[in-house]
Amino acid sequence: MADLVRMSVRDQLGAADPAVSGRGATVRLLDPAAQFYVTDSTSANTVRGDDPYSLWLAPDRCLLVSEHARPPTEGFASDVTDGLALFEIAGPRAGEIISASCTLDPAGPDLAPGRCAQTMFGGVRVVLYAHGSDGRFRLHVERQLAAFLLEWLRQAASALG
Amino acid sequence: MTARRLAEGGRIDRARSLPFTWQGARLSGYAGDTLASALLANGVRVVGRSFKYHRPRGIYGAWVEEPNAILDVASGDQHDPNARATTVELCAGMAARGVNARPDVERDAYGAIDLLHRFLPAGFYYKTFFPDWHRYEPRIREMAGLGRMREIADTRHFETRNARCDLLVVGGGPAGLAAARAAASVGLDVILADDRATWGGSLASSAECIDGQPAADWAQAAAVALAHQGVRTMPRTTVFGAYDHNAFGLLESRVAAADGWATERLWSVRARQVVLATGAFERPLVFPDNDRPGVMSASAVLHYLRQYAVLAGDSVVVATNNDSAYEVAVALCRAGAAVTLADVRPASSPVARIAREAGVRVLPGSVVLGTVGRDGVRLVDLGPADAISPRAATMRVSASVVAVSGGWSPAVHLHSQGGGKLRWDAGLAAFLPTVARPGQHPAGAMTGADSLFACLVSGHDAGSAAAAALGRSVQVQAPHAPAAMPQMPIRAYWRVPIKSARQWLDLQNDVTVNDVALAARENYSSVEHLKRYTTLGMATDQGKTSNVNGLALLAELTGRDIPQVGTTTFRPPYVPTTLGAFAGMRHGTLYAPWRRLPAYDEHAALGADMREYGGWWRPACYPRDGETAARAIQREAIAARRGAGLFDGSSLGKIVVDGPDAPAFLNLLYYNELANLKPGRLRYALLLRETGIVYDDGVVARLGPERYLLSPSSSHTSGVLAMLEAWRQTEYPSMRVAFHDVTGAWATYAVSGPRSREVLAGLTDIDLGADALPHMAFATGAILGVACRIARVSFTGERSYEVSVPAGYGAALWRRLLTAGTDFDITPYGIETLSVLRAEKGYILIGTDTDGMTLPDDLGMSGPLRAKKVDFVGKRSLTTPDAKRADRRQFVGLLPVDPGFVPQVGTHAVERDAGTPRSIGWITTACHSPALGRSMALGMIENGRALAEAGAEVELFHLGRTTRARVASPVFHDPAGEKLHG
Repeated sequence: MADLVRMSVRDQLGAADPAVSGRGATVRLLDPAAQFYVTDSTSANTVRGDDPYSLWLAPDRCLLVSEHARPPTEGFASDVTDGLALFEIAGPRAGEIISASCTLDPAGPDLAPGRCAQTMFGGVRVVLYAHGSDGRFRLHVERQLAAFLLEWLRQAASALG
Repeated sequence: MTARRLAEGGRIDRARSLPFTWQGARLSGYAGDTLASALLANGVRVVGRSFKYHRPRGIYGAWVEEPNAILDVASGDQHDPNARATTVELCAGMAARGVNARPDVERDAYGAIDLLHRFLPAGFYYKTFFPDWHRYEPRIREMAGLGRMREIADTRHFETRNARCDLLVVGGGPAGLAAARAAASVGLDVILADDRATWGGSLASSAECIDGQPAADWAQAAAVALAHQGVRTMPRTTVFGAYDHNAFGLLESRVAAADGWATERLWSVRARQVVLATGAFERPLVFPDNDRPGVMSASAVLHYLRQYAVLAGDSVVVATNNDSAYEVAVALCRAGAAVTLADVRPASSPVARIAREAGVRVLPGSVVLGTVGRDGVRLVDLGPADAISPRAATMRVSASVVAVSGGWSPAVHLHSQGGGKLRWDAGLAAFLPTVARPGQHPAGAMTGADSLFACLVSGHDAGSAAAAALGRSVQVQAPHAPAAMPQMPIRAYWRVPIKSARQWLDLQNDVTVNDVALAARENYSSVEHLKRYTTLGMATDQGKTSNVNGLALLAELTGRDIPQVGTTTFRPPYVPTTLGAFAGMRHGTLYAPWRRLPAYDEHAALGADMREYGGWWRPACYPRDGETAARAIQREAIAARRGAGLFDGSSLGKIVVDGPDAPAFLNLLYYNELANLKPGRLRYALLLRETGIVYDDGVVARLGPERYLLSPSSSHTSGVLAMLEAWRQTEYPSMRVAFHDVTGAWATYAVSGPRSREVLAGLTDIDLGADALPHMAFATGAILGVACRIARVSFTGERSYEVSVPAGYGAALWRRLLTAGTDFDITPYGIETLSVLRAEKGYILIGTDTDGMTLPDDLGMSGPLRAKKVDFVGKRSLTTPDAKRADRRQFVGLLPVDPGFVPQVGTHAVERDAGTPRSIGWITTACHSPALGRSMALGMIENGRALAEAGAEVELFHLGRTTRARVASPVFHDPAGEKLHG
């Protein structure tokens, strides 16, 4: 039993759940059970699997995400569960948040289901993908940039009017 | 009589009266007015002073081409010092003032400058003030100018957006609407953008019908129908720039913004196909004294009449060289004005008969030879178009307005910005697009279409062609308008051939026919040189009304054809575009991405002086109540040396390198030998560029036989990762090695100082003894029940333990370490304190003590070059003659002779050759050292190691002040390393 209390990114930023809401888009900060960098043979810019699922990042580098349990890993795996913040953007106007933050087309092939893209989003580097079938997007960003990105998303959502 | 509002008509909401002020006077307009139409409706004539001569100027145009009515407009908390009154939608409470005049535009003290105009021709400044321009510039700039910024923050919100579409239609006039209608009929994803608030463009002042409806009504209905079909209709949106691959910049203005809304949005649109239906600008007709208030574009006079029910004057002279102004004359007559029309063409046009029937006095072969009136046109002299003297005037007419039309210039800006070429069409006296750019379809007046019928057909065809290019076939018919009556061709007429008269070409920048003639005489025969020399077309209107007249005149004066002269280059933006819109949300807290430590709130609670270091917000130091930063740094440094200090090093990079070839790969990348590093041990290593220059330094840990952990500098982590990937992917793809940047996953705290072991002893199961965990070793275990890694590594020179835990526990661990350290007087210290501690120990800071010329040997690290057997990045560059030069600058310590004097970083060390100083290096770090009780510095000095060995003194020189310092070894504190290893 640890003497120390773990803080999720949401706890650390003092954000509510959802962290941003209203005006047709909501932003949640999720706290998945596991995020691991792993070596995987997924093809470029694709998502593979359901839970856990794996996002291609670079040759021989994928991000394995598991929402509910810590998945078994073998070979070279680095635990970055605490190192990455996972944002989920949902709602009928989620696509407008994407358009206000990066150059990718929310309805285009780069963000089609099964695809993931590494892009500058609000000025920071993220991996971005559609998740589920109801127009939700997810993105992973380094934990240290989560406060900045949350503020960006707050302003982008309030600008929806 | 001045302009006035008619009792009825216009597309304004007379039920909604809007009060506003002009130069402090209370006036009122109606909803639907522009600021310009409201000023005209209130009889305001003089709205500005010209840029150079401070001559009174009135409203000339009705839209973005306006050269004169540049006003200071405040509305609520918004302020625009250079608003174009013709494009500003009137709001209740708006306060407008003239600019470039003292005390106001009607009584401008600088107006006397105009009396000196003979002595102020084009090039006057170049000739008079060269070479001491900088002496005169401040005063001249103050006199000639536009509005003044208010020195308060802009509270408006801005936003940037990205969009894609099948078809972007630029322009919501008849051609644009017809194009969008055709494309929407086959289900294309269309964006339709127009810079006006209402749809229809020129249809707003048209009396014609489309599909049996009044044209303006048809336009509104068509836009509504298009929106229903899924077309993204964007009113108040200016397409200001065309870029490669059909990327376009759009500026969308939004009114009645809700809380948090952006008042302007900058769109980057990537379109598969584009229809350019940007219309045309009416050119002025150039004649003597054509800059007086009351001289207006004929089409603008018609627009004010039909859109805003503003009659520009009760007696009007219409001066033209083409048929389009006849409709204006007829409309003015029907509105009750007395109208005289002077047409430079000697024969009567077929439309002249209609005009005469309406009551217009038509004078063929005539032109304006001069105007009279102090603050605006009062009398107009008319005479033959080929007059060479003002005495040739045959008639003086009393009139307050001269409505002028010198022909139409297609708005080819976007076509040209994208690289499209132009050709001169002598029949239309206009530059037209030649071959369209790929995926672009010019349409309407922009292609020279000169009737509503032709514009609708042209637009429909362009939309159909765009659809065809995307594999769709349009079946609907073009909107129908009655065929136009035959027209008489325009007569190109560039000025009245009277040499003595002042005839204006560029109203905003005060460029006259005589200025162009002077430039031509001085051999400025290129139109680009003409532009720079005379400033023709260089004002904020970018010569929308003046460029073609100016270059045509240059052609005439230099005996060339217009195509030989050509146009100046069209560049974005098409109209002045708010800089804030380019920034979007990237200002204030979002100005740049900032990185936050896991214990950010804890630092803040301790009162840390947080500053930005390489993108991270980090504590510089932790001043106590009333303590200065400088004192806090000294206090913290002493505490870390005598007791225990706590430092947040979480921003330090962490890259895990793994694979069977990891040892060999890192040996190729790093300067230092890393293959023989034992698991569980750390080694300090340099990373060089191919040039041999030191790029980064850091401690490398060997986690296992095939696994290492790199610790790049905080601001170099992504750079080092990119470098690793580049070498692996391009040079050594066969090597089995992979990298994970795990920087954010860990919180790392350094407990440093003689009592550091005691602080940690009760918290962890790791044996912290000097034998079990010596300097430059690490161990894994648990701290307070959480898995951790403790590395014995020091950047302070004291015994230090770097404790790393998953970042989620970072905040809690920081608090617990402070609590646990209370008995040992643990003191948190910031990065500025660390910089003092490491300087005392002679540890370099990359980018501070090194620069783009530093080689490893300059830092005293020549061992690996001699000992390392295998090749590594940068090795070749370390064997060049330059790398082996005897007089290279070397890293040394410096002790100022005055122990209380801390020299400035950047101070040069000089040697004198017959009294002339020569720099032999400079100071890179300087501080007051608490350990030494005196000042100290580090620096790069030629032959520094030999000087240090000899204990030589050097002369320091900074901002004229000379001091001396003794050169020494850079390691001042604990040179034997007893404290480090203890």
